[in-house]
Amino acid sequence: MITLNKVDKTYHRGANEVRAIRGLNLDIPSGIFVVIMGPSGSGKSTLLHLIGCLDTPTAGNIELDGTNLSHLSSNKRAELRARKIGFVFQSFNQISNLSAVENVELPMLLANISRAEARRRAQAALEQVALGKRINHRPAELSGGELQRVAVARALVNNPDVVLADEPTGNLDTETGEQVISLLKQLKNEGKTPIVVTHNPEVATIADFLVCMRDGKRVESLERMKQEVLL
Amino acid sequence: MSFNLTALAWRNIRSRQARSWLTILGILIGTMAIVTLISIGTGVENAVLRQFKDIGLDVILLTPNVGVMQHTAPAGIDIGMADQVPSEDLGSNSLSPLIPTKSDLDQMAQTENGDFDTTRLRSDVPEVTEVGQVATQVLPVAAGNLAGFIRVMAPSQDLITQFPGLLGGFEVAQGHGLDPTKTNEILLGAHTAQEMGVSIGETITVGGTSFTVVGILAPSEEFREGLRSDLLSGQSVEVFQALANTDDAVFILYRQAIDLWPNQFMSSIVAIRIRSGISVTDTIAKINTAVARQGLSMTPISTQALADNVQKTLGMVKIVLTSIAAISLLVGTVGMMNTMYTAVLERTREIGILKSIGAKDRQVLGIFLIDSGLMGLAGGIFGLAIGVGVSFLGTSILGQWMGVTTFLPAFSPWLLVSVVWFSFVLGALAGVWPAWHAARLDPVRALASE
Repeated sequence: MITLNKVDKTYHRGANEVRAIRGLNLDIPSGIFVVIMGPSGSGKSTLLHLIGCLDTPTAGNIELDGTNLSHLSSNKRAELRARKIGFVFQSFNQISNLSAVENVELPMLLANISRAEARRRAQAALEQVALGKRINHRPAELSGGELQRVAVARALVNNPDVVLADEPTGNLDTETGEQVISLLKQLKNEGKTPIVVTHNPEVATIADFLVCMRDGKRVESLERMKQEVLL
Repeated sequence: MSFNLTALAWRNIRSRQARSWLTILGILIGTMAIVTLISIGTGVENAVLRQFKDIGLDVILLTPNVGVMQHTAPAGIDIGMADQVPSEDLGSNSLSPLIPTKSDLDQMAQTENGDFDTTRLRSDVPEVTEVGQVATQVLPVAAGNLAGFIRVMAPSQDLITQFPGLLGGFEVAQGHGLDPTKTNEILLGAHTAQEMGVSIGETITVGGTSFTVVGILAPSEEFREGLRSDLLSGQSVEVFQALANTDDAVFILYRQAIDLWPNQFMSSIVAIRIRSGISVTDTIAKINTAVARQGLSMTPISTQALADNVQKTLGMVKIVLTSIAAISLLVGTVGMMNTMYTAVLERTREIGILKSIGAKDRQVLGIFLIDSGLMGLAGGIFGLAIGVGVSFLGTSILGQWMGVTTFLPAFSPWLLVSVVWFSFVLGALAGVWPAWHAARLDPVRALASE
């Protein structure tokens, strides 16, 4: 269960103050497929970063399975990311000079898992996303869809409870995008909570739980959000 | 944990080979320079100390304070130049600086034959157990059709038997040594014999007196190599250098030289060995008094003190040279710091990725520190290996230039271990600031960077 209670996030860019999240309250049950939608600048990526312990709220509390994330040290947040959270990014975020299997190994090496075990699990994870024959290829040698599947494999190797995907289909064609979304949705069957930020309304239709964002706040429905955008 | 971080750091180095090698090169050059200079410097030091040990570190040497006793200019045989050098008037100042002036001779005339009296020293200073002396003069020489000037060295029998190290080992290669019971015997230095073209049993004329060649000495080159360094200085060492060169001289016994040419031969060096357990400082004071009583001006110095002085001088030179090499290592380190900082800037997004998948600040710090430390270590190891090679090459070239063959660089285990360890530490230090900067990066901003 992820709980947000009156969460605020304000950025300071020079003299300007940007309120990315404003008093957000949210309860996300575990084991469901969550979709976050909203126009650019609505605060959806910031929300994802806050849930994923990459950032801390300016005010309010965020709890993940009973743990308050708001006041954790940098190290504790890193530990949580390593144990409980997996990330998938729009731009794949692979390390260019490492092969697919080496990229997937990374979270395990950082979690102090032996190199042999990390290699075995990384290969298994890549086979799970149908990339068993591409494990030694570097990012430059892989297609967008393959890169995103490597990212999904990397997000899953440490068996996280929550998988956060920030516009994972943004750089993919429709068919490949659907494959990636399908892959993410299946994770709920394993008891995980996939949370996907997307602009694609079709993805919203298959969500178990939809969060529509507008100006740092949650709006009630997709229709309402669309209306507000049009207004 | 650190093993995994090392693996990650190694992957970084491996994936940026060109840049890594260029960074390593900076440390490599500095390490190589330090290894080369220290090992060659220590090699010179060892060679010099070996020479002193051959002479004996329990010896006190008396060297004259007048210029006439210095024989740094190679005398050799100067065939065909006889008419250019006056040979009669030894009191004239127009002579070669190797020939004593009248005032020098007046100063010496206060003792029997104008030279140091070893018998008087024995009676004045009972602590003296052995004493030998060698006197030197440049005299006209004639051998067959050849004529010229030659350096005539007149060691006492005691000096030959007790202090051969002072005369380059004084090893007779052909014939036999000088017999104190016989007169008009002469030994030739290796080079002199070759130049003169005379062999055992033949007669040569020195200073108007005929001598029979009874032996030819082995080359003294290897023996004196330790003293040939241009790094050495000081009157005592210069006298040493000249005495140890027996190749370009002829030898007669001291007693005969004094008998034949009274007042013309003066001791270049008097070697004294004292009873063991006696204070060197106190004995030197007594020797000083004894020398003054003979009306001579000579400076006593122990070989130990001389060796210490030489070692001190060489040590200073080594420190200066090593400091210069250390500057190049410092430049290499700054270069590495620059590379690491640039790497952090270039890899900002990568750092963001690492943090997003669970890397702690100290893990990011560790990866960059190990990265730079490994490059420093590689620079140290390669620099050491190349430095060893360059040292051997350097001593070989230096040896040829100096005319010695067995001069080798010296590598202490301390040097080998510390240089590699120091390179690793320096490399890691170069990475501290960039690594700290990387560890402190905000993951969200790092991920957003291009």
